[in-house]
Amino acid sequence: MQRQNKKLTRRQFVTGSVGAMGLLAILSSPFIAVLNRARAATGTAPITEGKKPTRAWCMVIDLKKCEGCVTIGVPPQCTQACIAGHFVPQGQQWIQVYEVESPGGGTFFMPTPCYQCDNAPCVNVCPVAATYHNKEGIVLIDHRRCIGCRLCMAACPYQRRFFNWGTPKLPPEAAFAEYSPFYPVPAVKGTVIKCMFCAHMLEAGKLPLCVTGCPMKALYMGDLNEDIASNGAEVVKLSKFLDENDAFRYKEGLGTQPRVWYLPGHGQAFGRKPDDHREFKTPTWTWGDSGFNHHPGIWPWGEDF
Amino acid sequence: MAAMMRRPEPDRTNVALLRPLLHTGQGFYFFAVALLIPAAWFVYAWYLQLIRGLGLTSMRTPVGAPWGAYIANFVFFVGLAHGGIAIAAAIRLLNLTKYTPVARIGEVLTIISLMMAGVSITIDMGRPDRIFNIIIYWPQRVGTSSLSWDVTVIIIYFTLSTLYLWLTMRKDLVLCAKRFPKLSWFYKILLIGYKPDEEHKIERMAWWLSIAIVFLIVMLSGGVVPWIFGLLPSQPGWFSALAGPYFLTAAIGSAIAAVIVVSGVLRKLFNWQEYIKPEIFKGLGTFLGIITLFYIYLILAEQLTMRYAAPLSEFLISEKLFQGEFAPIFWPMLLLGFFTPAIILVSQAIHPQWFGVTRTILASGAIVVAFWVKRFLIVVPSLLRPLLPFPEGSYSPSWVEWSIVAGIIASAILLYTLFLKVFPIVELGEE
Ligand code: SF4
Ligand code: SF4
Ligand code: SF4
Repeated sequence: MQRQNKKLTRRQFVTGSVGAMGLLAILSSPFIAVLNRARAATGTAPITEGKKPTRAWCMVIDLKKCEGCVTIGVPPQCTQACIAGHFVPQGQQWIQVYEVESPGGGTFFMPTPCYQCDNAPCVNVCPVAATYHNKEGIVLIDHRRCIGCRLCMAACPYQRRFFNWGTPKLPPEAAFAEYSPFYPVPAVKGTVIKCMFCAHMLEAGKLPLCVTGCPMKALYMGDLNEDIASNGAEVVKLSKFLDENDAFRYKEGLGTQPRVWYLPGHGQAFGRKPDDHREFKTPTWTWGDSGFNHHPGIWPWGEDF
Repeated sequence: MAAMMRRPEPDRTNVALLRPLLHTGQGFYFFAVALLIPAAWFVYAWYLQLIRGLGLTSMRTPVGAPWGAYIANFVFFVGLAHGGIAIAAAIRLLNLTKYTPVARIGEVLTIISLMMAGVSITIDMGRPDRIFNIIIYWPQRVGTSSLSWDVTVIIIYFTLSTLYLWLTMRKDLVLCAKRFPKLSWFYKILLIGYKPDEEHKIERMAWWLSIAIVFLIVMLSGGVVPWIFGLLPSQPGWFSALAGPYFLTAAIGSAIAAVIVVSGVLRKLFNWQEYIKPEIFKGLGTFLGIITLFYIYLILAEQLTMRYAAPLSEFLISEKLFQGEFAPIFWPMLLLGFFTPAIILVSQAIHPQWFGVTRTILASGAIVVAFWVKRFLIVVPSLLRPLLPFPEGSYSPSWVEWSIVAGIIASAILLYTLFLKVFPIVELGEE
């Protein structure tokens, strides 16, 4: 009787402790998350010890110079350059130019690439690490791994992520492109895609396509580590440039720590007034018909089928 | 008291309880075919969607909703999955023997619902072919990805509840093996390792399992599922500490309502009035009424906070529900789906003469439907109205989405029916 009792307690103990440990592991997973987040939030640019300095890419967008390309009467040329250079599926604007109303009346134009947030919500939530930071601080997507859950799209407060709702119609050249997360061409069905700071160009030592595409030279690509930025026409000392021009980051309060700075303005460098009524033209595509084919018809045997 | 409840003639009882296994009438075949049609249609719609991409749904980005009816369906089924096992665990832990006849009805509901939740989320994925990536990269991502937590807890929950069902059913499987010699090989496989004196051990295991399951219920419905939504500061209307309790209440409410409906239907269908007693409906109904009232209070708390909130986007989402595009479903859901049934159920408890089994079942049915709608209203409006002043989209599910949602529900009922045909759904007596 005695022995049996003892046995039972031991078993209880074992079962209990195993259960408790499992429970603890499950319960503690959110706390690991908190720790990880904290680390991401405090870490700024990675510091390197090697000879070749690691880049910490960032972008500066001078709104004094951006006038939405309305003064020259064309769709925004940064968006067009990006579309042409990456065979962007119809309907996606990896860098989108919004016409924003100023609180004091009038409007200004605001180009919005992916902000490559240092504390990126999209990276935090991805269940397969398909979205990740590379060493140079760029948020990349591996389309060979992405499962298309779209949690990252819900997580990105800036709506800078796009989904490939099907196989996009692209020009035939796109098929010859060699895919890499640096150059996500051709777009993969069922995955998420976005601006990747033209990592393929940066690697080759060139400026991103939107930067070179901007006729007003409003976009600067910079390196936080080397403290330098360039729009293709001039080279500036980054920290001084940001400081002197009252740079801000969009919705700093969200804590995402974007790698994109704005210099406030409304295109005045080119004589644009805030109440300028010239029409903003939306970007155009030479491929892709009307975007992804969303029309199976009312019934599968309908006209579209 | 307990002795009085024990059925006096075990054999007659067992014959009655085994009715679905003993007789298969024409009605069954009609019913099965009626369910097979939407199920087959669902397979076809899914096939179309796999071939052509998720573009066949009404989900759109960047303007529009990246998630829609599939996710609402997923949350709904995860919620349903709590009822049965919660009831079963409560019966075991709190010794509520009165409710034993509905325990297994609920357990089966749990397992089938979890399967359907898994199907819903797979269908929502852009690349279902890569689903195992979640497992492969799990160790790397479990730190921060709420979806990884979800997969973890759902898998554990599914394993434990299946184990629980299997353990508690073994006793009845022995009887079944005796009674149905043709199928006895099948029951014998399930009875692997059976020893006539195992009952005591099984009881203990089931007890421990119950404890684990009760914890998991809180983790799953009060934790990881709401945290998919509640931890996204970028989505006004989702980001809230209330998300956990809110979803947990909804899960328990919808699950109990579903158990009432299923038990009620089975009771009518197989003439089990004697075994599934009205008191069971009364007890569950009262509990459901209180839970639903509490849920209405949570809706109130949530909406009130959103309407007074500093971020304008929160107010605008609440406005969408109160008088915007979703008002035509929000108000009927609140008044007909939650408020009226809750009042009926609670007044039945206060005034015993008003109690009616059919009335309880109808009220519960309304609550189940309302909870589906509520899940839809949680998922969609927030996605349509971004946090920042970006353009707003609109969303109403396409026929592909409706077919798939309807097909998943039909498949769930079909699976349940098949279970009824092979296993005893109410615990059998001694023989
Ligand atoms: S802007 Fe959006 S997509 Fe880009 S890094 Fe930040 S959260 Fe991610
Ligand atoms: S959609 Fe792709 S990139 Fe986004 S969270 Fe899911 S797996 Fe990651
Ligand atoms: S940096 Fe490159 S990918 Fe990003 S918006 Fe500019 S051109 Fe497009």
